[in-house]
Amino acid sequence: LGVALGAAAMMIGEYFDTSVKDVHDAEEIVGAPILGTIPFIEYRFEPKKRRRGYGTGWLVGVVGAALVVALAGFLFYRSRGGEAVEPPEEGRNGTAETAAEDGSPSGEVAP
Amino acid sequence: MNVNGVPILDHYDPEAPSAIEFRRLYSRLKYRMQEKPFFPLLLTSSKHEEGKTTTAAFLALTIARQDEGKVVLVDMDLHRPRIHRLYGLPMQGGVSEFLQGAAKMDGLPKRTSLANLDILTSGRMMRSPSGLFDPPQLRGLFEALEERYAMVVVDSPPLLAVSDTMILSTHVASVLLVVMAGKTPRDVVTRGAEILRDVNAPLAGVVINNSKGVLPYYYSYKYYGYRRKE
Repeated sequence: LGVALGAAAMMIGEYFDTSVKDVHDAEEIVGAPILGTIPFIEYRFEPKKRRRGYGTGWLVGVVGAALVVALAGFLFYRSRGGEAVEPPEEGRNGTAETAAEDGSPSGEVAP
Repeated sequence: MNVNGVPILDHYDPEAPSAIEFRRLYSRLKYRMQEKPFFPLLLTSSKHEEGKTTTAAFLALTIARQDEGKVVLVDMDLHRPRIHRLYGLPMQGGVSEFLQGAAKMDGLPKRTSLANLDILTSGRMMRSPSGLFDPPQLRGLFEALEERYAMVVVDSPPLLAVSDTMILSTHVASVLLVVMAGKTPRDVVTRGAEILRDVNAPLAGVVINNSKGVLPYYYSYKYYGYRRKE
């Protein structure tokens, strides 16, 4: 299930990722030639900023996943509980209450 | 004019992958433009954080190291200036003072430890810097710079954020659009290119920033470097 969920998340991510990921893609969009691709700058010159972007991204992901799991669990529990557990409980409670209600006044009245 | 410490130069390695790619970028630009003049050269991007300031800073450094003449790097991003920080210079005394008419160009560009490279910082921060982007004033700025320098490299704000860059692009000889691969949405890049096209800006080419490493493996830094084996 985990693998399937992971794969689904990746596919959804890919589907919604509209960023430029291809050099020819960029060339076509802009209508000008690609003159360079900068790999990365090996060093930074400014104090490192707190990467809040990543933090919130992870947080949203984890909270989202937790919510999905919780919702799935809740629905699963309800679907099983609704059929098998709830009616007898209601029934039992109902009978117990009626018995008590029936019992107590009759008990008071009888002596 | 005072010589200041240059942090970007303190760490600069001419054989680093980025340094190699910046030299390649400059060569391609020269080859493509043939005999056509392409300075002043403006660097911009559609949105912020695509790496245009870093690209401008490194490209100016790369050009200055070629010993082809004096280079000035101009920080025209008066909204979020950063060039002065990359070069360890004070921000005050630069573009905004010149455009306001408060200072003459002589003595305004700051020297760096690289003999061929001077920096014209953004100048004092203003509440509404876009108001300074008046065409006659801008023309005066570029004329003054071109009198003093063989090569002018300009950093600018993002195209979609403010109108400054659109106005600037009509005062330069060529424009390079920086695109962050794997991050900038296609529509945003399209819109940026449209803004440039609308004013007939001299768009020379695109620079892809692959710092996120999303391009295919053959763009990887591990294929860079070709030094003598020990």
